[in-house]
Amino acid sequence: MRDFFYGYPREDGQVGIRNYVLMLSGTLYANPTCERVADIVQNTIPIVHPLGRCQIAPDLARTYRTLVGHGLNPNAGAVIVVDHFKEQGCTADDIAHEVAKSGKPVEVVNIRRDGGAVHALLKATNLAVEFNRKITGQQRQRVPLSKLIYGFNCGTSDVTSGLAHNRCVGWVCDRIIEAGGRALGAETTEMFGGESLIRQKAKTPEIAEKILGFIQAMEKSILACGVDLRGSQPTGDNIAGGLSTIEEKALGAMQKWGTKPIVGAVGYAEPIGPESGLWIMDTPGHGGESITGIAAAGAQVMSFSTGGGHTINHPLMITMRISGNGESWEQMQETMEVNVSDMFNGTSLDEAGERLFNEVLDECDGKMTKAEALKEFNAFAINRCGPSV
Amino acid sequence: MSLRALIIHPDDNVANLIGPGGKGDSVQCKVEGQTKTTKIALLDDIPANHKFARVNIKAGAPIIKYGLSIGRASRDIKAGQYVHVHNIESNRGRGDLKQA
Repeated sequence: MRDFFYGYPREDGQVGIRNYVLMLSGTLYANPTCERVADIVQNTIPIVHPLGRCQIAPDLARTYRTLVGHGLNPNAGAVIVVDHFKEQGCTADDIAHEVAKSGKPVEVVNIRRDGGAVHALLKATNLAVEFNRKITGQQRQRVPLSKLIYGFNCGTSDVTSGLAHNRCVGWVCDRIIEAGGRALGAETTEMFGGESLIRQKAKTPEIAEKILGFIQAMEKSILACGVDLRGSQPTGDNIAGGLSTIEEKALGAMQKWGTKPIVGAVGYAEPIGPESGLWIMDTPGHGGESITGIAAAGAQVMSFSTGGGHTINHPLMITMRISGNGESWEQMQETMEVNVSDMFNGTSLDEAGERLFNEVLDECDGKMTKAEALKEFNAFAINRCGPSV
Repeated sequence: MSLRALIIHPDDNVANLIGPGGKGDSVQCKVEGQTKTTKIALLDDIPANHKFARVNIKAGAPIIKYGLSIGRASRDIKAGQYVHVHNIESNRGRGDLKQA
């Protein structure tokens, strides 16, 4: 089993698996500048969103933390942060200041300060060319697998999820952790009913309590809306697909966690610690918001495990998709990388798991996913904890 | 060709059928990672990939899948019978049950 990959070592000790110039929008009014520069200049990726203004303090702090986390993600070799004017608590200057601590090249473009939308576009385009010249001479180096943060998530689950593809993801988590790496999962909504497994898997009772706290808080926030989630879980689709109870659905989702202990739990978009092992982040089941939180924590690569097939793809964290549902594979293979539906015809978990592992490591070395080649940048979405004001 | 079923954990008292099955069909059951197989005759028609009981399960007993409880039997279930919402129920979020 391979215990290395070829990546771009960064000054702060992280290792990128891509060497992009990142156009990081600080606020919605800076989005067009980021998108236009990415359109003009090669190897330049836009991160755009509708937030960064008129948010209450804790909600704005979550946006800020998510944006800083993306600037720090090692798949970005250089970062240009674009701002419209100045929003206290989430300015491009503040974001750039935090990102610069990593040692990577960072610049700020401010639309007002730099003389308007056209001048800002000109400045940002020149900077992106300059940054590409600066970073693209860097060669990939062989680094140990311990440098990898392997993110994982699932969506459009069905009865095949817990039996096939989710178990392959768990198998890959185990191998990466055995090599000294870290695996990072999330999706608090998919843990309802899996509490006994969380208690079994947590390295300490404190870690278990922290994750159970995530579940209780999410249940409370759902109930505060005046609806009972569990009147509708499992869903009609799930029941038609053979899932009988919420526990069965949650335990199926948690097959992605593999067999290793949980060594820590963090809030949304928070960085994880250095300890090798399984880490859990508090995120909603919403795929885009969940994987964005994982990317902010520094994961370079993500396996998205799906029964129904998917196009979900994060712009910066390399996202690959796996299914064990042969019918979904046939319909959705234009954006799917790994098919393990043969597990229902006798292929062992070891064999299917190794297929996923090899694909993930090839992608770490630079092999494009299908959605990456297609620029399906559809899954940058920041989770919110407050209203717009 | 005889039907096959997928059993994830040796403690599981239910199995997922691979493909659909009909009443009277014989299913070859093998726990993953083990070599021993057992045969069970289905007592019901079962939709593709749904569950059936591997052993007799008493009303109130836990339903085990992935080696853990996914709920409890709401009535006696015989080996080979279809297992779903009609004969098992969740232990979670049961606001309808009085606390003991």
